[in-house]
Amino acid sequence: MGEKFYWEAIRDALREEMIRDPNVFLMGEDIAIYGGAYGATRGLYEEFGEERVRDTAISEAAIAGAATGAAMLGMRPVAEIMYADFLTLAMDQLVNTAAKNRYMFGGRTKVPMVLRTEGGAGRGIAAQHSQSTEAWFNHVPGLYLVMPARPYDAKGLLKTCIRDDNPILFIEHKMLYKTKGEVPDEEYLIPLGLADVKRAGKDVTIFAYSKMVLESLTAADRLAEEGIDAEVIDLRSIKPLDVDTMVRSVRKTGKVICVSEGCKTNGVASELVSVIQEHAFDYLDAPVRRVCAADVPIPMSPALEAVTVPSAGDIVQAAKELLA
Amino acid sequence: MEEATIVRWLKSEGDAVKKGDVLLEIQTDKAVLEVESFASGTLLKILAQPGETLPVLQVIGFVGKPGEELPEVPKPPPAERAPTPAMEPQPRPSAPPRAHIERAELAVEAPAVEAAPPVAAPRRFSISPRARKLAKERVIDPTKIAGSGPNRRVIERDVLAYLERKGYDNIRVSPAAKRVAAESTIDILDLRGTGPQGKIVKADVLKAEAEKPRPLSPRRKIIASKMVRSAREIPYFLVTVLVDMTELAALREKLNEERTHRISYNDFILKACAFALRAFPIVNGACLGDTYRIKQDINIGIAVDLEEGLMVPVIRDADKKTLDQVAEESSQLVEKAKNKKLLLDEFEGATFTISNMGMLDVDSFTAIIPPDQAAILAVGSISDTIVAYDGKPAVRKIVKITLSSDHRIVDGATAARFLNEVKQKLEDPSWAG
Repeated sequence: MGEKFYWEAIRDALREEMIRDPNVFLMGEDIAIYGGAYGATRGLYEEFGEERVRDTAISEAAIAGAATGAAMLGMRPVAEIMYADFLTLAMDQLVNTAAKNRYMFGGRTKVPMVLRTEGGAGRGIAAQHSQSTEAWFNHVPGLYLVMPARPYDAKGLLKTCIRDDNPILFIEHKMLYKTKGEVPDEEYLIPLGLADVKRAGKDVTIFAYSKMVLESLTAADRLAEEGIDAEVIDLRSIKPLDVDTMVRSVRKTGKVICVSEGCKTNGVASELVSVIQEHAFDYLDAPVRRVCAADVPIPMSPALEAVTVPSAGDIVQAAKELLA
Repeated sequence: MEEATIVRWLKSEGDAVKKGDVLLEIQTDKAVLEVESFASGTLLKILAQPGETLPVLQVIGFVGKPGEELPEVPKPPPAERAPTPAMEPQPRPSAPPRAHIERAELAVEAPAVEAAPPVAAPRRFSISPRARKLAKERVIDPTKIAGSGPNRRVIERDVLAYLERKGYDNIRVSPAAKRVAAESTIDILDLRGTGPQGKIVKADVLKAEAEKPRPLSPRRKIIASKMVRSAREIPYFLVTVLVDMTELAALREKLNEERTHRISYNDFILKACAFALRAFPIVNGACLGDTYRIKQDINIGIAVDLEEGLMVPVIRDADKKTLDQVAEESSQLVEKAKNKKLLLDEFEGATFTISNMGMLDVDSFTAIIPPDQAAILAVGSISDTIVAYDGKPAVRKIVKITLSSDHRIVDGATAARFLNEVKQKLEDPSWAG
């Protein structure tokens, strides 16, 4: 066991899978020579060479399309889109080809690719470089969606995704790369569709993912000072969703907050609320609350950016209102 | 007494009055009364004029010191019906009774007249799913719990607090009892346990289930509403006579020997009533509030006791039918009633009703006047009774018959005379021979 940075955990997962399986290769903008915009592929070009760690043209459509094609022909590409905001340029390849080919070819092909990207606000780099776009992809049958919060989760999940035969969107967070956490030295895998209770509690349930997990844990500490015992659950896997863990928690507390850094309208939190009321209606003591980003473009001004996306304070506020 | 009408003022504004002086005359529903002054002073203001009908407790004037400022008097709420016109002071045989109307007396008699406080809209009961589930598991009624959530929603902590307040955990319930209670709508907190150490057992739940209010059947609702209307609208009084049925009993036996269609006692009574109704038409009438009717046909209803409730088939033109015709028709109607084959016009349109409980071994009873009639006759059982007959004790067949009459149009003497006519026809049944 050792402490690793989030970016290191990702880099290690890639490295281990590339050693294990020669079909695994990486492609993306500035991932080879530069080592990745956030350092997630640092050292891999030097270790594995330009055939297996490929710098691409600045064309997200090409990245996604080439990865799809390579996957259909037997490779296991891990392609990177530098900013989740740019996924729009890869949409058609992802949504209409990668997500659908296995079905439309009657199962005679498969698309075992991982598309890594990062999103989120916190660097003051404005509306086109700070979004959380996962809601768009959660809506696509055939695509899967994983968003780790901690180094431990990132490594275990990425390995599982690479070994999975489906196209999976693996969304990291730009503000998490430099966070540190315990990561085992020995190999481990985390299955898809399994949420993690990051903090057990009994008064209120907070569902979160990615950076919002850290905000939720901070909120939980503050709530504890006021005698409110919050349970924080890191979903980790948005699709497939761990409904059983969610229901178990709702049953325990009866009061729920769903946190997402995406905009409120039609965001992932909306899907969580629907699932909760479908599966755990009788356990609810109050309507489910959503804590999400405002329905606005992310501002560049750091002060405005800070109040646009949810913070621990917003979560504390929601919890106190729920328990009033 | 709820209201009164001003007849005339005996004092004018500005007059000096002493405590006990008669200030005005008012007319109530029973009589004309004089109203005395409570205080000495000057009659400063008269607020109600002759002819005005006002509710009790309405301020009608002020007695005080000249120059005193008078408070505002709110107008009385509008009367529901037109006020009765003030009557001319009627010639009285003797001095009218003085009404020592104490303030307290008035307050006690009269219903409150001030506007009712605005009624808060009935609370729409709301409860969170979790709280509802908890209440259901505990088999209690959540609507009794006050809610502390938004919009007074009952939430989990309200249920928990309620259970604790009620000492729910100290209540012992058998599993069978709990299961049965859950299936019905019994609230465990309403039950008293009769098991060991006060444990609630299945029998307690079943008893509560049996005692639950159940809705009246449509038939019963109709009966109930008629009875209520009668009780509310008809001021009734009773007159009872004893009838010696000995002769009639003998005649009946003789007649029935020669007939397949047996004549019952009730058939005789029905015919006797028909005669009496011709003689006293007001008893065949009906009071409609301010008006009344005298019905021209004599249609007598016979109360028939059925399992589902009372039914009253009607013998039309009872006075024009022979005893035999009445006997045949009445037994047919009763049969139809029992088999639920009565047609609509066979139980509508009674002008007078007879209720006979003779077969049930009762001495006498009071029947309730059907809302659109003036009277009803209640017939008890005929029994061998020792009475004075021709100056000596004898055993005769005696029955008590009781007439309930609407005092609005039937006075005591009329009722008595009517009954005596019936009695006479029954004690001397030569008209039937």
